Amino acid sequence: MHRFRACLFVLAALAAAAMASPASDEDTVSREFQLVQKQVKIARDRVLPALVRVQPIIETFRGGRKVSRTGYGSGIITGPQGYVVTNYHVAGKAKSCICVMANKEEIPAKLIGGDPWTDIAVIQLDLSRYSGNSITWAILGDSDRMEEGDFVLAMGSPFALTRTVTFGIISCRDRSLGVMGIEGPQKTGQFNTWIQIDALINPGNSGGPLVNLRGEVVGINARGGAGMGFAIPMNIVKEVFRQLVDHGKVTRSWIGIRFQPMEKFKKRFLGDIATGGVLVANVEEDSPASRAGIRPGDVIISLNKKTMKARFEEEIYPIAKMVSDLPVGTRLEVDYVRHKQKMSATLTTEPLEKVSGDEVEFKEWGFTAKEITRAYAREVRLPDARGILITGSVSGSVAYKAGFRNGDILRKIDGVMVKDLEHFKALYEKINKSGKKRILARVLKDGRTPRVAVVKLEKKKAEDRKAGEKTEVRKKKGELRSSIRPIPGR
Amino acid sequence: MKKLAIWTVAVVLTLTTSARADEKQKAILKAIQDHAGSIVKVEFECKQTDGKGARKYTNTGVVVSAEGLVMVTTVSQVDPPVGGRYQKPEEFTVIFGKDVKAKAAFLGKDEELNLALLKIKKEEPKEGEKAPVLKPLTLNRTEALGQAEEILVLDRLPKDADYRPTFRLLRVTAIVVKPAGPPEYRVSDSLSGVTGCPVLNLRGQVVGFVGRDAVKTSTRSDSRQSVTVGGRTFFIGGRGRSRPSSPRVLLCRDFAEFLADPSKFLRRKCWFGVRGTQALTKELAKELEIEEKGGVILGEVLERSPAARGGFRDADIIRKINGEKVEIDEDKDVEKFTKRIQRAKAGSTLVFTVLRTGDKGLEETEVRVVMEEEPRREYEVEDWEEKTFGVRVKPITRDFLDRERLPLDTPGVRVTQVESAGWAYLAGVRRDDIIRGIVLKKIKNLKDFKAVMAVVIKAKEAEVCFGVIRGGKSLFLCVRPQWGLKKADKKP
Repeated sequence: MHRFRACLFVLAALAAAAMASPASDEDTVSREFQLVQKQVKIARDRVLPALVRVQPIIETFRGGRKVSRTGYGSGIITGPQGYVVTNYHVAGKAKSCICVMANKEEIPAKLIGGDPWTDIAVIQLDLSRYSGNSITWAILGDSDRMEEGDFVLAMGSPFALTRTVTFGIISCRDRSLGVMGIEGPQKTGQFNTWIQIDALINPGNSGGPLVNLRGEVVGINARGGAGMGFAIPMNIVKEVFRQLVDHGKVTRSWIGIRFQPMEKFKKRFLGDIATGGVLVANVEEDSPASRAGIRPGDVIISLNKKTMKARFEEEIYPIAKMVSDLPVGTRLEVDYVRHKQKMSATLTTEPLEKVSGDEVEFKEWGFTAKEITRAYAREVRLPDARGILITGSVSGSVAYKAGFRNGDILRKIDGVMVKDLEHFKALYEKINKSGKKRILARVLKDGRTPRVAVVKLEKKKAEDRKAGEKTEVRKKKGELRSSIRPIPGR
Repeated sequence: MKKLAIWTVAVVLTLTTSARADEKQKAILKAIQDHAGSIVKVEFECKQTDGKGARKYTNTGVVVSAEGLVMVTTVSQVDPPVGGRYQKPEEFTVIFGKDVKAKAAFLGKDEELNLALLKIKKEEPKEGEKAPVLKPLTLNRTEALGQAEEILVLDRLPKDADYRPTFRLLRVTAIVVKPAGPPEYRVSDSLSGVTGCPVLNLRGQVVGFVGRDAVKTSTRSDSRQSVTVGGRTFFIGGRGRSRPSSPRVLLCRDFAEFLADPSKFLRRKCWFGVRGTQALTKELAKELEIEEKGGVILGEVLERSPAARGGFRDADIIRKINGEKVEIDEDKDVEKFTKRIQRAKAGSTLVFTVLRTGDKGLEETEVRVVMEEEPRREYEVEDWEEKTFGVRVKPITRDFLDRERLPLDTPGVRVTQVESAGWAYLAGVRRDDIIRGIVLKKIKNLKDFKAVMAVVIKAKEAEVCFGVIRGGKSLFLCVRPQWGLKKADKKP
C-alpha cells in the first residue's frame, strides 16, 4: 500500500509539474489518486469474482508407495463452462481439485489437461455443485500490448489466503529466464519469455491472474521471490488453453536443435555471407536435425524460406515457438551457413516428447517405477530408452530385498528385455500369475552398474497373507469399537 | 616369627619387581640402541594449488634398505592427488639426527597397502652437516602380537629436541578378527602422532608399523568424484571432506611380500575394463542352474578395454583364471578377483574359463586376455594454467568420460579451474566444461589447446569464441578481451 501511494505521489507530482497548473499541488495529487484508485477498483471488480483458490489432490509416489498429497494455488475462471486456468506445477498432475470460489463456496473440479513446457494447466469446475446463480469469468487480454511501467494487479491465494490482491507495475515485458526445471528432469520456459512485475508474488499465488487496469487478464503468475514476480504472457496462455480444452494436451513439433543468439558470433560464424541468422548450439543425437546433417556451429538463416534472426537471447524464444507450433510431420527446408558457405537441408518434424514419464506402483512387489522416455534417456545420456526407472521401494518388500532402489533401471526380468513400462506391466502380471517363486532380474544400479538380482516372490505372498489377516482382525476390532460407541446427540 | 616371614616375603617381592623393571628398561634401551639409527624424520612442503600458501609436514619413516629406501605410511601427504588442495611435494628432507640429513625423492606407492617409498639421493652433505649411515631396519616378517602383550613404539622427537630417539610403551588390549583383511590390534593408548613409527615387542623385534587402513569409500554423489589415496578419501570436483581412518598397528607379516620386493608393488596396476562385477553366490548359482557356486559375474564390458579386446561379453561368468578356480561366492570377496587382475604383469596373457549364455543355455568357453596397464586416472593427470584467460585445463581421461557417460572419442580438454572474473569466466566457461574448439579451431588435446591459445594471444583476437560441451550438450561462448588493460586492471 505504501508503494502504491508512493507511485501515485510521484505520478501526480510529475503531472502537476508538466501542466504547471495554477491549481494547488494537493488538489492535483488528490484528483490523480482518485482516478487511479477508481481504475484499480474497476479492475478488481471485474476479475476478483472469477478468482479461485485451487487445492489439488495429487497422487504422488514416495518410498515405493503411491501416496496422496495436497497443496495450494490459484486459478482464474475463463468462461461459462467453468474452465479455470492455473499452473501445471499447481494442478497439472491433480487427480481432483477443490476450488474455493469468490463467494467462499467450495466446489470440486477435474483436470482437463496440463502442459509442463509452458507451466499451464486447465481444470473444469463442477458447476452442478455450485449454489450461486451464475459464475463470473474474466476477460483475457492481449499481453503484447502491455509495456514496462503499466500498472498491474496480481490476484491469488498466497499461503492459501484467498482473494488477495497486490499491486505493482510491469518491470520488464519480455524477461528471459532460460530453461528451468519443473518436475524432475522435465523442463519449462523453452518457448516463452516472462512478464516481470514488482507486485508481491508468494507461494500460493501460482496460477493466479495478472490483471491490467482495464480489468483484463494479461498473464498467469507462475514464479516469484525476492520482491519480483514472473507471469506467463496471456497470448501464450490462450493458445495453450485452446489446445488443452480441445485435445487435453498440447502437441508440438521437435527437430532436436537448441538455438543460441548471434550477437557475439556473427563475425566468426557468418561473416558477410548473410545477415541475421540463429546459431545452432546443440543438435540432439538421432533427431530430425542430426539426420539432416545439421551440426553445432551452423547458422540457420531461414526456415521454410522465412528469415530467421536472433541477435539477442530474447529473440530465441519466438523461433523455438515457431518450430514447435508447426504440425508434426511438417517438411522443413533449412537454409544454413557452415564455414561461411551457404547450405540447405530438408527435415521432417517429429513430436516433442515429455521428459518425465508416467509412474506406476507395483504393489505386490513393493516398488514404484517410471517410464523411460526417449527424451529422458537423452537427458541423462542412457544408451537407450529400454527398461523402467525404479523410483522407490518399500523397506522389507520383495523389491527391496532384491536390491531395487531409487534411480536403478530394471532392464531384464525373467530373461526378457523390458521394452517399456507397458511391456513391464504385462510381464509383471504374467509372472505374478505364473506362481514362480524366484526369478532373475538384471538391474542397472544408479542407472549405470549392471547387476543380477534374485527376486524372491514366495515369502512376500506368505507375508501378504499374514498382513492381510492382521488387517482383517484390526478391521473387525474397529467395527466392534464403533458399534459400542455412544451415539451422538443422545 | 610371623612378622619375620612377612618381612622376608616383602623384601623378596621388592627385589624381584625391581629386577624385572631393570630388565624391561634394559630391553627398551637395547631396542632404541639397535633401531634408532633406522628411524628418520621426513620433512617436506606441499604448496597449495592456488599458489597462495604452503603446508609443511614432518612425518616419521624408516630406512628399509641399504640402497636408501625410506618407507612412510602417510601416503596421502607424500603423494597428494592432482586436483586436490595441495600440490605434490618437490623434495623431501630425511633427517637422521641433529645435522645428519639427506635429500630424497618420491619413488612410488601402493595404495592398497597404504605405503610409500622415498629414495635417498646420493649428494654431498652441506657444510656443517654429516652424511647419514644407512642402516636398514631389521624386520620380523613372521611374528604376531598377543593380547596383553607390551609393545614399544619408537619415534624421534622434533627439531627443538634435536631429533633425539624416544618411545611409547603400550599394551595390546584386544585383537579384533574381521572376516576380511588382517586382524586389528587395539592398544592401551591413542596412536595418533606416531604414524609411520615402527612397533616392537619387548624381545626387540620389529613386528609392525603404525599406519592407516586403506579405506575405500564410494563416490558420495555424481557431481563429485572420490579418490582414495593412501587410505584417505579425497573428493575432486566438489567441496567434499576427506575422511582419514584412525592410525592402527600394521604387522610386517601382512605385507611381507611388499617388503621382500617393493618394486613389484610400485609398478602400475593392470586393468580389465568391466563395470559391475558380482560374486556367483550359492543363490545365484542355483537360479542359473550352475552346479557349483564360486565365480565372478561380469556386468558391462567397457568398450576398447582389455576385456572387450579379449572377447568378453556382458554377463559372462568367470570360473577359472589360468586353470585356477575362482573361489568367490560372496560379494565382499570380489575384491580378491580385482586384486588378482591388478597384480598381473602388463603384456602377460590370462586365460579365463568362462560360462556364457548360448543357444543351449550356459556353455563353457575360454577367453584369453592380454593384460594392459590401467589408463591414467583423472587425479594422476597434471593440469595446465593459461594465465591470460584465467583458466586451468587438463587432458580428458578415460575415467572422466566414463563417469560423465560421454563417448570415448570425445575430443578436447577439461576445465578444472576458472579464475573469477577472468576472461574465460566472462565468456561463460565453467569448471568441468570440455573445451573442444577455440576460434573455430578444433581442440583435440592439451597440445592443441596450448598451440591455439598461443596463437590467439599473439594475434590479440578481438573476439575469442569457445566451443564447449557442458552436461553432454554443446554450447558456444564468446568474450571480447580488453587486450590493452594491464593484468591488474582486468578484473572489474
